[in-house]
Amino acid sequence: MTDSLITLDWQAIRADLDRLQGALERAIVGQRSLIAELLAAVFAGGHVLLEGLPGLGKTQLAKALAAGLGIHLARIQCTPDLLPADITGSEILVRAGEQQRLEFRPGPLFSPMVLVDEINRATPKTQAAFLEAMQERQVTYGGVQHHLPTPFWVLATQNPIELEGTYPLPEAQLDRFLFKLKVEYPSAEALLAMLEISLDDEPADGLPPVLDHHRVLALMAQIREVFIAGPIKQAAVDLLLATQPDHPKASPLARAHLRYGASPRGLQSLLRAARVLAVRDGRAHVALEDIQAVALPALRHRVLLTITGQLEGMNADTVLAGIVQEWRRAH
Amino acid sequence: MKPEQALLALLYALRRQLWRQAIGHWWWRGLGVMAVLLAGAGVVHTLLWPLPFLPCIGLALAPLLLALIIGLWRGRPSLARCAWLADQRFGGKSLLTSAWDLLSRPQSISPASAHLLLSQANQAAADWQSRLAVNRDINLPRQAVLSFSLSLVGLFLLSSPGALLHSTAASAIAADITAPTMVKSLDDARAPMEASEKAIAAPAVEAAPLPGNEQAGKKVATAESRTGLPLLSPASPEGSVVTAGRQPDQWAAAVPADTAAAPAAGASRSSGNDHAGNDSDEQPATSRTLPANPTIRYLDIERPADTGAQTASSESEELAPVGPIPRPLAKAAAIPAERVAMPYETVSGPALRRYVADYFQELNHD
Repeated sequence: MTDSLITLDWQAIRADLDRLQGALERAIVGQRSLIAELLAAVFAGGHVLLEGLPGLGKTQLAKALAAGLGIHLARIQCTPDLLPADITGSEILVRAGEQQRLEFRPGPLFSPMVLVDEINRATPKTQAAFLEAMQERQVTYGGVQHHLPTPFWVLATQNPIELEGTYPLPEAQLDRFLFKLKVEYPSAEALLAMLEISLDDEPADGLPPVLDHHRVLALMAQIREVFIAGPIKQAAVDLLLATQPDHPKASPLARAHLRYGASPRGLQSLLRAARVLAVRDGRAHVALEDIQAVALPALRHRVLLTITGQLEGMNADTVLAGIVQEWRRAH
Repeated sequence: MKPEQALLALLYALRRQLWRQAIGHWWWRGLGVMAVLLAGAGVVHTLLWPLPFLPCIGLALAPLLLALIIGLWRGRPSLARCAWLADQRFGGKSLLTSAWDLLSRPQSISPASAHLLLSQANQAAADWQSRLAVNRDINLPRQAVLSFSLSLVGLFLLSSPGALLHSTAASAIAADITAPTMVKSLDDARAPMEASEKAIAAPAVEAAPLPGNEQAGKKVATAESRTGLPLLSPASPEGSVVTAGRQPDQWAAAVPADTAAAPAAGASRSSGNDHAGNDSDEQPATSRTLPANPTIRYLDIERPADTGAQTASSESEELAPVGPIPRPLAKAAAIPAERVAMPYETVSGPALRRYVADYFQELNHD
């Protein structure tokens, strides 16, 4: 393989990602960084938890993403009476002539991309049904394992203020999400631009596909080829350990305000997402800057504040931002 | 040409630069310690007590050499470290770090990714090589100027006379001024010896009319044994007495080079008669006489014609030593030779003058 072909290949990957980013930005106005982070999580093969106030375009973003990727989107609207079988599927009695048999009817989980709307309104039992699907990418029903399609993404949304009648996600559930993204309120210019394109209809509905299923898989495979050097891995480990309040390498901020630090799955999330950012920057290697860029969305839902930290007005983002700054100074 | 040649060239160049900086860093540290040591030694040397110059310089140079060794040994960074620092310096986004990590150990990476990474790293390294050459300026730290200044001050102080020498000289001068037995000139030292000569000369004069007489020789020998002074120059073959009736201004004094051996040598050369037994028997008489300068040797003297005395013959026989060294002379032999080994006329300086005076005083007491 010649140099030019290699370079062209990597440039094509970058161009595809840029085109998808542009398409999503046209559909969801004023959320450029959110879209970039969402793409990083998606091409890293991870699930995303979107947190934001109602009406900020979370659902539209998921729809636009699925349309841009050229894949089917299944939507699950969570309510307290939602049952696990409603999402995983169930066995139904099928009669063919005189024969009757139970046949597994897949639920909405058997879709490449699943939008779980207001996931914190589902009961813990239903939430737990997502665990196996998100981690193992399979559903076990009646002792039989049913594999989910590849790729498989769960995009879950939740409302941060309307907490009545909700069931906050347990830590184990949160840990399954690669990113927790916060949907910020758009700026005045973004609101004005939104009126121009989405006053009467939803632009996400008519978004043409930018990629197709095979290209998405090829891109994800190529992204996994991005090289992560030993010192970069060590730096990522140091960042993770800095969030552990009881570890010798813990940051003073973590010791002061964190009860639990990020899990090893958080380390995987860090580096997987950093690879996507490296590709988008035209590099075949992960840099410290990539890790720094994805540290907050990858770790903010994996740390637990102490009571005193909460009373002092701290939140996970402020503590993690301080930890990342300290880590960056040391590296 | 290796594809990663530019990368390696940059890393090696950066390592040399960093190594030099590390050596310089340690060098300035050692210089600071050396400066402090030199300045401290200089102060001590000046104010408290004098210190030897060369050992002080050696001790002060030791931390400098130690710092240099540490800089040479520990200051050499690894190439991985150089790649890391190059990324930080040039904003490489871990490019060189990743490329060097890829080169230094086997990795599971696709050939396409490795090729892209190395090509990017080489291209960047070639660009950064020129910027690396620009950044070679070495700023002289402010501490270095201070260290140099301190070192020079310390060297100057160390090379100046020490405090003890000053105080010794001052005390010696003060003692010279106040001491009652001070010897102010060569005439002062001659005065007691002249008195002794006069006391000795009387019996010798009595025997003078009997030249060649053995009795006269015995009397002279008795006088010699009382005073502990050799009165004769090498005796004549006839054993005649030749020194009776001489004047004090007719003899000459000389300080032999080896003063420690001078008393014994003078006694052995000049005393032609038997001194055996006189050491113990005649000790009181010897101690009562004025101290004789063992360095004084009587030479042949031309007697005036009107005195009727004979002139010392040049064929006189040299007197053989016949007994142990008189006690006062033996005690004087303990004085270090180098302190009195210069001609008496050239003795100068309060300390040396006092030393000579002490010498005479010791002889006087004994």
